Amino acid sequence: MELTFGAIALGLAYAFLGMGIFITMRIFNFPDITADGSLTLGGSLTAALLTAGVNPCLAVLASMIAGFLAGTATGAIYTKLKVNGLLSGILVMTALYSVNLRIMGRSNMPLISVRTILSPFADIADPTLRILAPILLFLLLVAAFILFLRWLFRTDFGLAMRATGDNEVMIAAQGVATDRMKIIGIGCSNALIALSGSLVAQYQGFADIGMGIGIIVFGLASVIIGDTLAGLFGERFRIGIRLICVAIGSILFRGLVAATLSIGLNPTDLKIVTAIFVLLTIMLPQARSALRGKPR
Amino acid sequence: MILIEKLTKIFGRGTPNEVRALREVSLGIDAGEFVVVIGTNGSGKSTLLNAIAGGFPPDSGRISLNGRDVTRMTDHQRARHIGRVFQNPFSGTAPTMTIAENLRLASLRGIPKRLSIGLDNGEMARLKERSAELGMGLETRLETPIGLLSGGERQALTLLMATLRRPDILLLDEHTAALDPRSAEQVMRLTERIVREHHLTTLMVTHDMEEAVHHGSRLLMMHEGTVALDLRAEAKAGLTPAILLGKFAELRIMAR
Ligand SMILES: Nc1ncnc2c1ncn2[C@@H]1O[C@H](COP(=O)(O)OP(=O)(O)OP(=O)(O)O)[C@@H](O)[C@H]1O
Ligand SMILES: [Mg+2]
Repeated sequence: MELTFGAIALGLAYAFLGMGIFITMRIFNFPDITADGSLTLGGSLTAALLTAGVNPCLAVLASMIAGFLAGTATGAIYTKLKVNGLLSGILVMTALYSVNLRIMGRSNMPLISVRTILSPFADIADPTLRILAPILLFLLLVAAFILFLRWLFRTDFGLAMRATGDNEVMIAAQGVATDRMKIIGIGCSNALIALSGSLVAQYQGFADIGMGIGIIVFGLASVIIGDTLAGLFGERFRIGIRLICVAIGSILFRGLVAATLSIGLNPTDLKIVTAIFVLLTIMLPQARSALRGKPR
Repeated sequence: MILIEKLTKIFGRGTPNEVRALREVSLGIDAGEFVVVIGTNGSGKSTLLNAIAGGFPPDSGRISLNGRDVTRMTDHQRARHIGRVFQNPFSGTAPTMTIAENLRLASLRGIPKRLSIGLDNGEMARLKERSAELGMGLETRLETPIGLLSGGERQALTLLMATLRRPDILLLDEHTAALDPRSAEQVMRLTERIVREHHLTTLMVTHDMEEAVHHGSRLLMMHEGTVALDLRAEAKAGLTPAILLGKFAELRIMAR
């Protein structure tokens, strides 16, 4: 039971990672792998600020801003210095490793005895409610951000962002500086990813320099599961619904992780299970159409 | 309106593949002129249009629009003045976005896209009215992603998008070339009507001699990066496809 609740809470916290990857991968068509660094950046900055006694809400906000800046760095290297997109992400991600160590001053920071956004729930008498409270908070946050993003991508600015990923020639002809759009977009994506790192650290009760390693695949997994789900509902275009599916994808994926651990596999086996699972999810739509005898 | 002075563009300068796409082209186009541009493959027609739109900085020379030097301005900085339709029907529209969303962006060409919902009911009604002008029934499908439309429909929409906000200059680069004869004719009729209605200054590249003869008020023939022939008024009006083909042959003989 605890395990399931834990999986749901973490799934919701990691949903922001999925949404961030969704923005770069699906909206901007950009393979951003800054995530490994920016998720840890969110976690480590939150840990350092909370330990210094900063208000938890401010710490979360600061983490998002830091993530945004990390993303703009990747975007600027890609657009202004004309470095390959993947490489731009790798460069920033690598640099962030040192930055994150500097921020924490060590490789791991416990958050057991400091005040976090989840501290108010610790005093709830009812044990079930105490476990449910963080889930409700995360659910509220996820819902708020999905609503916000849904609104954002319907504004004139948001339409221009989507068109930048969809057809750069067209949107440049409408007078949009596409470089600037990409930098802002990758920034927003990494702000969400850093938020994810911040929430995960506070929920788990520690930030660790390794918490982001390979995390990009988790994000990809939620996006791909999300797309498959949205496809089942025949939804290929509406962003709000696609984001909800990404969040569900993130929770399902955490469930799978929990299940893997509960059948006795070692945590170190998680990465290969993840990789195989992601591969299967990618193959699923192809397998379905193959069964129906349709050429792809 | 458009003043081009000694414009030169060299691709791959200093490499074995060096191409002089434009050689000291000088050209003045008045407001309201409908200029048809013809010429063999690689003669520099698209390069000329791209230079006007700001797709790249020229190697030398100047371009001014409405008396203002725009030579160093990027394409998006010039977008306020320029409407474009490309040869490829896929180039002018964002496929995963709806017709309405594409049209909304086009009606903001060259002006800032703000953080507010611009595509409200009033705007939808306006876009519905404008797209009805095309006479293709697209006004009932405003919520359809543009990628699901045919090439002809997409090209007609691109034309509408280019002119939704009146541009100072309309650039059409073989915009009917990828369409079947019927759609091509339909898009050409639309072009003629929109250009007339809004008195648009237009440059239209075509390989179709019939199109070149029947449309426009002026004709340019490009050859190896230069303007080899510039016909206006009566000289343009008296053209037939046969005369044009004769001119092409003359150029080929001269080149030998
Ligand atoms: N980006 C580029 N890089 C290198 N060479 C180019 C580039 N664009 C055009 N060229 C070359 O410049 C010359 C002029 O090309 P342009 O596209 O202007 O010709 P065009 O008259 O439009 O021909 P077409 O009728 O085939 O469209 C050609 O030789 C072409 O190969
Ligand atoms: Mg061309």
